[in-house]
Amino acid sequence: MKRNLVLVGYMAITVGILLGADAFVSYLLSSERLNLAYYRAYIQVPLYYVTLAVSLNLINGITGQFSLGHAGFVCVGAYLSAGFSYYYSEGWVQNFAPSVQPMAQGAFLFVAALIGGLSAAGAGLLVGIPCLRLRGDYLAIATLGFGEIIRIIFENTQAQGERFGFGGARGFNDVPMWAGNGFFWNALLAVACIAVCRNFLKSTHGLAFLAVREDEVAAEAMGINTTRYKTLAFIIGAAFAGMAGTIFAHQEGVVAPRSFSVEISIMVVAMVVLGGQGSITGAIVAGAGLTALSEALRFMPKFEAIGREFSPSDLRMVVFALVLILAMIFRQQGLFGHREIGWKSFRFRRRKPEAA
Amino acid sequence: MEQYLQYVVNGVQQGAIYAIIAVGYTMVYGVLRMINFAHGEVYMLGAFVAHLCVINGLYGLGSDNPPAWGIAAMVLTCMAACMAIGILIERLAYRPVRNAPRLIALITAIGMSFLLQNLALLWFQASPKYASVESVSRSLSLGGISISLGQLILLVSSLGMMFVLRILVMKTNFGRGMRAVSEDMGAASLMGVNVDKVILGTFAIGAALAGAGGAMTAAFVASPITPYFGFMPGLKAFVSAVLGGIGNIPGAVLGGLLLGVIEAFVAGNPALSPYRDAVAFAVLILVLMVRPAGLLGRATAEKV
Repeated sequence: MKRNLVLVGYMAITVGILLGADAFVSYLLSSERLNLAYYRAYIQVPLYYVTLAVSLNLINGITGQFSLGHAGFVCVGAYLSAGFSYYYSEGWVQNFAPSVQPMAQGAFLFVAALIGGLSAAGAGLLVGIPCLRLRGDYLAIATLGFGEIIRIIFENTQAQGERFGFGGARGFNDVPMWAGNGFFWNALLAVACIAVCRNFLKSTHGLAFLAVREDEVAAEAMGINTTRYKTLAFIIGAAFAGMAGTIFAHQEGVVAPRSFSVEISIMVVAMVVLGGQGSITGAIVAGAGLTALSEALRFMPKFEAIGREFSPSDLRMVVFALVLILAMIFRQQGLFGHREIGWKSFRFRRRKPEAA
Repeated sequence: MEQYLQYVVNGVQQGAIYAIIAVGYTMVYGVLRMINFAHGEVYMLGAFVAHLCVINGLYGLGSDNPPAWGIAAMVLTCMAACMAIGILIERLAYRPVRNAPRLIALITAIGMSFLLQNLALLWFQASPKYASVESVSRSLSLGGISISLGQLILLVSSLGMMFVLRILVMKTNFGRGMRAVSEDMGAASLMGVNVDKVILGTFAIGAALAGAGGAMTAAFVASPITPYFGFMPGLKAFVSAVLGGIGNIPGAVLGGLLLGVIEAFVAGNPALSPYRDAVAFAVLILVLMVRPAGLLGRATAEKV
């Protein structure tokens, strides 16, 4: 009971801090001290990718599965939650008085995120079950295939408006933009994702995940239900990806199939790999760093090569690809390896003498 | 009936392209146990080299009715260029991670695939390019079934290349080296096989075949060439290789032809045609679950 109270307290404090930060950012925006493009680029897009990187890290790094289909889960969450908001709840929200309108929007977005998360978790279960028999590179290609299948399915659902459908290749338009500028919700989701993954790892279940990564056969022999944990990793990772998709949809107002292409999955994989497969802090640092870097390329001056003009933002995917290759050649464990950075790493510690 | 025969013809033609790429996948997998994800991109680069040959009017390709030797020379040029690219990829990216766990090699290969794709995007830009040779892409009608001369050439030459490859693997010294390395790399090197050379050669042959496939697709089937030209065919070729039993060259050919025909039938059905690309993945997942060793492969127990 007491623990639960403490937990609620932590949650309240977190939400309070985030609301404060959101108000601060909004103030900066309104006073036009910050360019909107810069703000989006350096604060909010990295937050989105941090959630994706940390949630994929649970599957790829911590459980040692290799999934290349994360964009597919984001896609499911984004589309289904957008469908819920557009078809079933937009009319409801408009009934509220203007003064409570933001609260109502927030509440409905919360429900939409639950729906997005649950549907993506369902997709994760669906992908997890057949893929459990596969390992390593086969699993990678199969999950990539699943991601593509999901995208193709949404690409081929046409009708929107009166009739139920997801808008097809042109995308799902007029999703209610309940997430506002997206800062608060992206930040909240990122914090929640990090907290869940971190606390999970400290529990018995977390050790089971690590055991599955280190040696599946040995883990099975020690009585760990590897199948269960592998599916669980897929479900939790997918759920967070789906919620990230929900916020993406309600902040952009448009969901298009091209936002969930293989490239996105590869970008997130690059973040996990660079950060260190198995390190949550690694995923955070690499996720935020790589997105900020790729966004920064947009603001760099154009240059000329092979008789043509290029803008550095064209180099985005080249940078990601080079990061992947160079990391694999020179630092296979990634920046952080299996280590985490926390308060403890800054504390002075006396080295214990090695046991004989 | 004629309609179905037409599907089969289209499917076999598309399957021949998958087969020619799949052979490269399967050979590299057989020797190194790694999935060369960037193989589809080599195929794409082959098509772009063909495009460069045509727009520069090399080998008399600029004229309306290019000579047969010109077309052959173009395909050979593409093969040579792709061979060089394949060798470069192996030396720069894959050799440093050869002794690392398999996933590391896979990630490197994925990175390579995206690097090549995006470099091609920078160089050639996204607008579609063509390298079609008019005189052979005109379609002929044979008893109600339409087929172009180019498709026939493509089919015959890819089957011919597989035949030559089979002889190379089974009858030559290099082929013996390849089989030895695929059996046991360490033991092969103790027996005096130059493992580096064999692996480099395998990459070179696979890349050359992919290049030939790309050039012929661009020239004979008149497909538009974009930087994304190789990604899907590359994945489908991988599916073909798995379908036939990965590591097995006749299996890759069989898998490619089979996948091509399945796809042609799906594409012919109006209700299913949007899901053409999804079918390949469904086939992959099904094969991996039901018969992981593929149609012609032998089942092997996973080592603990």
